[in-house]
Amino acid sequence: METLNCFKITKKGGLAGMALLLSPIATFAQQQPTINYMEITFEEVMLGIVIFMTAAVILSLGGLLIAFYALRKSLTIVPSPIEQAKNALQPSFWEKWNHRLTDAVPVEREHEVMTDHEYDGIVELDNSLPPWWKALFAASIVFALVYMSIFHIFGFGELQAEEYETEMTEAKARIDAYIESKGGALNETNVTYLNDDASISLGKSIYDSNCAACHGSALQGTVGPNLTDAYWLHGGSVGDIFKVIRDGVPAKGMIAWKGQLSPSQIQQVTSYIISKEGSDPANPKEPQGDFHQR
Amino acid sequence: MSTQLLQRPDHERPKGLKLELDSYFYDNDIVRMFANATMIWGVIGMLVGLLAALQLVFPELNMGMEYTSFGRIRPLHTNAVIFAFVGNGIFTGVYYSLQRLCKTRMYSDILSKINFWGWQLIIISAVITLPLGFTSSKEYAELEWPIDIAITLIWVVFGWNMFATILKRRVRHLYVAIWFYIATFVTVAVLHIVNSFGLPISFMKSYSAYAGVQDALVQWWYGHNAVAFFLTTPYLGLMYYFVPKAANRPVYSYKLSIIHFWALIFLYIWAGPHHLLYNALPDWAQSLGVVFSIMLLAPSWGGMLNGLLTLRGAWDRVREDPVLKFMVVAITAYGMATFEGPMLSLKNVNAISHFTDWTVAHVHVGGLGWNGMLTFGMLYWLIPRLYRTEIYSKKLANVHFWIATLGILVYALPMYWAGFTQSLMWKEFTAEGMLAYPNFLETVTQLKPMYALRAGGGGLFIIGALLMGYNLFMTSRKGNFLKNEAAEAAPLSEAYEKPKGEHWHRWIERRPVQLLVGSLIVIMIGGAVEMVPTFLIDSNIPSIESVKPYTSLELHGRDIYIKEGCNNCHSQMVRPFRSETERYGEYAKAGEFVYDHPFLWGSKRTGPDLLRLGGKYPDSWHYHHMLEPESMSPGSIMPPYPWLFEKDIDVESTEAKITVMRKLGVPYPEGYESRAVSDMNDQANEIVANLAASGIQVKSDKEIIALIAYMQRLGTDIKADANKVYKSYEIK
Repeated sequence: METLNCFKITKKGGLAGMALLLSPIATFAQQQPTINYMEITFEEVMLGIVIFMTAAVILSLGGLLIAFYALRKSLTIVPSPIEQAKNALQPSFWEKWNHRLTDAVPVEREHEVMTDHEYDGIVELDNSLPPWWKALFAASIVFALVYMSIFHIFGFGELQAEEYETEMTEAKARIDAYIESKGGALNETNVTYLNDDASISLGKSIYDSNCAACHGSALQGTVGPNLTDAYWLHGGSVGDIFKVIRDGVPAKGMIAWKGQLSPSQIQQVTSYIISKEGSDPANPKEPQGDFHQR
Repeated sequence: MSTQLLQRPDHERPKGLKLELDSYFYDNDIVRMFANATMIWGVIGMLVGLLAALQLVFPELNMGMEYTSFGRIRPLHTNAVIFAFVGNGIFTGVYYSLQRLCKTRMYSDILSKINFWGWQLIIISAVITLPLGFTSSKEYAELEWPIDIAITLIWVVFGWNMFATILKRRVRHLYVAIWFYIATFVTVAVLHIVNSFGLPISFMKSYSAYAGVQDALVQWWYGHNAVAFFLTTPYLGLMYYFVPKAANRPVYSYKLSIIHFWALIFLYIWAGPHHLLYNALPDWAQSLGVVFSIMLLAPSWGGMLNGLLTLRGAWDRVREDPVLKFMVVAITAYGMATFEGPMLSLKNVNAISHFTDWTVAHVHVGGLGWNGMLTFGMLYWLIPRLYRTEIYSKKLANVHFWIATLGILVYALPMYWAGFTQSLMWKEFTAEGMLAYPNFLETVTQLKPMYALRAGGGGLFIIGALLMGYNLFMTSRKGNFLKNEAAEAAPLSEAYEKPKGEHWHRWIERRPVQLLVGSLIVIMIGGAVEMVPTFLIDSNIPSIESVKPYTSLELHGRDIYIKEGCNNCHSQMVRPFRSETERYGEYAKAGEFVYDHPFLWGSKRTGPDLLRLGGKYPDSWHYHHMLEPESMSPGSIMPPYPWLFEKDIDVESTEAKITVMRKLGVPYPEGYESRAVSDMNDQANEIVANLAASGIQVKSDKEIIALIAYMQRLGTDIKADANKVYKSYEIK
C-alpha cells in the first residue's frame, strides 16, 4: 500500500516538475524571435529564477523521494525466505513504471499475444497500443479541437491580419518612445552638415556598401548622376539631399532608403556626399540639373 | 522460438482437404533491375545535389551556362532523388516483397518490364528537359505535360500489375505492407493527376489550370503528400516487410498497424496548408493545416514504434548486423522528422523556420535518414539473397554505415544553424526601428561557411553510397544470380471459414478491392474539405479592382522567370510581419494572384523576396544585375544570366499564350491576341529607351527586356489608384 502511495506522489511531482521546466520554453515559443536582452526587466529575471528554482526543488524532491524509497527498502530487516520469494515475483518500481507506459508483454511471454497471422514467414504479435502513445494521440486531438475553437469559433485568438496590426502598433509605440527619449527625429528641416571625421567616415562606409553601385565608387556617377559636381537634379541643400535619399525618386529609379537607413545614417551619408563636392574624380558623368552654390 | 513460429502449418487450410501444392517462380530479375537502377540514380541524384550545394558556396560552379545554373539544377536534384532514387527503391522493394507476401509471381512480366523501362525513360526525359528549362515551376511536379502523361500511364501500369498480382494471390489475407502499397498507389495517382491539371500552349509548355491561392493550395496539397505517399507510406510498407525479415522477429503490434495505417492516411492529406502558413491562404485553411499536422504526430510515431519494437529481442544483433543498423537509424530518423514536422507546423515556429535552411535540414533528415538509410539496409539484405551468397565485406558495410550517419549529422547541423541565423538576422531591429540587417545579402554571405560544411556532409553520404555500390557489385561477382526462384504454395480454397473471435479488421484484409476503395475515400476527404470551399466561395479570395492581367511582354518575362527557375531561390510572398513589410513593402493579399497561372510564391529565400520588386530599381539596375549580379550587389552568390541578352523573345508562342490564358479565365480583351505582338514591341521599346538613357544599347527583342518588364510589374498593381492612366499596351 505504502509503495503505491509513494508511487503516486512521485508521478504527480514529476509531472508538475516537467510542466514547470517546460513552461519557460513555451513562453519563449510565443515570442517574436527577436529578443532584445537589454529589454528583459529585473522582474522578469527574478520570475525566471523563481520558476527555475521551483522546478529544480520539485525535481530534487522527487529524486529524494525515490532515494528515500530505495533506502527504506534496503534498510528493512532482511525478510524471511518466503517473503523473499514473494518479493522476487513482484515487479520492481521501474518495471511497473515501464509497464504502465508501454503495456507491453515481455519478450519471454510474447507467445501469449501471438496472432495466427503469417506472411512469408513474418508473424505478428498483438501487443496493446502503448498507453503513452494513446495519451499523445488523444492530447493532439484535444489540442486540435481547442485550437480551432479559439481561432475560428470563439474568436479569442488573433488571426494573422490582426496579429500584424498589433505588432505594428506595439513597435510604433516603442520606437516613438525611444526617439522621444533621444530628443526627436531628424528630418529635412532640421538636418545639419556634420564635418567631424567620425561622421564622414561612417558616411563613407554607408555610401560604399549602398550607393556606390549606382553612383560610382568615387561618386563620379554611373547609373545614377554624378554627386561631385555642383549640379543637382532635386536641390543641393543638406535638407534636399537628405530628403532625396530618404524618400527616393521612384520615377527616376532612385530608391527610398528610409527602410534601410536610419535618419542619423542618412545624415552621415549626406555629409559624406557634400564633403566630396569638387573632388573631381576620373571619368565623371556629365553634370545634370541646376547649379547649387554651397 | 520465432523459428518455430515460422514453421507453423498453414492453419487456413480447410480440414480434410488433400494438400496439392502449386509450383511457381518468383521473378527476381525485375527486382535486380530496379535495385541496380536505385543505386545508379541514387548516386547521380546525390551528385547533382552536391553540385547545387557547392554552387551556393562557389557561384563559379554555375559554369556560365544556362543548363547548369542553380535554378535548373535544383529541380533536377529533387526530382532525381525523389522519383529516380526513392522511386526505384519503392519498386525494388514492392516487386520483391509483393510476390512473396502473395505467394505468386507478378501478374505479368511484360507489365513489369514496361513499368521498369517506362520509369527509366521518364527519368531520362527529366534529366534532359529540366536542364533545358522545361518546367512547370511547381515543386516536385516540375516535369511538363507530355512527361506528366507518361508518368500517369506508367503509374497505372504499376498499379495494374500490382493489383492483378494481389488478386491472384495464394494467401488469404493482405499483410500490412500491402495496405501501404495500395494506399500509395491510389493516392499518388490522385495527387499527380489533380496537381498536374493544366492547358498546353505548345509541346513542352503548359499553364496550370489553377491560379494564385488555389494553385498554391493544390500544389502544397500535392507537395506535402508527395512526401507522405511517395517518401513515407511505401517506405513504411518496405519497413513492415524488410525489418521483421532482417531481424527475424515478429511484428510488435497488429492493433497498432491497423490504427496507425488508417489514421496516417486519413490525417496526412489534410496537412498540406502548413507549407503556406502566414501566406495569403485563408486563415481557416491554415489552421486546418496546423491542427492536422499536430494530430499526425501519434500516427507517424505508431509506424516508428512498430518498427523499433519489432527489434525487441534482437538488439544484440543490431550491434553486429549492418542491415539492422541501417534500419534502426532509418526508423529513428523517421521518428525525428515526424516529430519535427508537426512542430514546424505551429505558426509561431513556422514564423521562424519558413523560407530558411531549417526546412532544408528537416527534409534531409527525412530524405537521407529515413529513405536513404532504409534503402541501403534493404539493398544490403536483398542483393546477397538474390545472388545466393554472403555480403562481400561486412566491414565495408559497417564503414558505409558510419560514414553515412556522420554525413547526415554534418549535413543537418549546419543547416539548422544556418536557418536560425538567417531568420534571426531577418527579424532583428535596431532601437530606432530600423532593420539591423537591411541589406539582404548580409544574411546570405553569413551562411557561406555553413553551406560549405553542408556540402561536406553530403559528400560523405555520397562516398558511403559509392562504397555500397562497390560492395554490392563484388557481392554479385562472387555469388550467382537466380533469375527465377522456385516456390510452392497451396492454392486458395473457395470457401473460407471465419475462425471464432476473429479481429474485425480481418474482413477488409481479405478484400483488396474494398481496401483500395476504402483508402481512396479516406484520402479524398481532407483534400475535398480544403479545396472545394477555396474554389467555390468567393470570400476566400477577396478580389482587388486594380489587379490586371499581365501584358504580353510581361507574360513572356514571367515564363522566362519560370524557365530559369528563379522561384527556387526567390519567394513572391511577403508575410504579415513587421520584419517583412519593413524590408519588402505591403504584405501579400490573396486577390493579387488571381491571374498567376501558375503561382510563384516559392518555398525558400536564398535571395530576397521579389513580390514588391516592381519600381524598386531602375531598368538599368536589372540589366546590369542580370548580366553580372556582383556589379550591383558585391558578394552576391546569384549566377549571371548572359544568355538572356542573346536569345530572342519567342513571339511565335505569344498568341497561344494569350488564348490559353483566356481559356483559363484571365480576362484579356477581345482580339487581344492579334495585337499582342505589336503591344509587346511598344512596351519593349519603352524599356529600350529607358536603358539607352543610361547608356545601354540593347535590341528590343531580347529575352532580358521581357524579364525586366515582368520584374518591374511585380507587386505594383495594388498600389495603383482609380485615376491611374493606363498606357496603350497595358490591359485595362
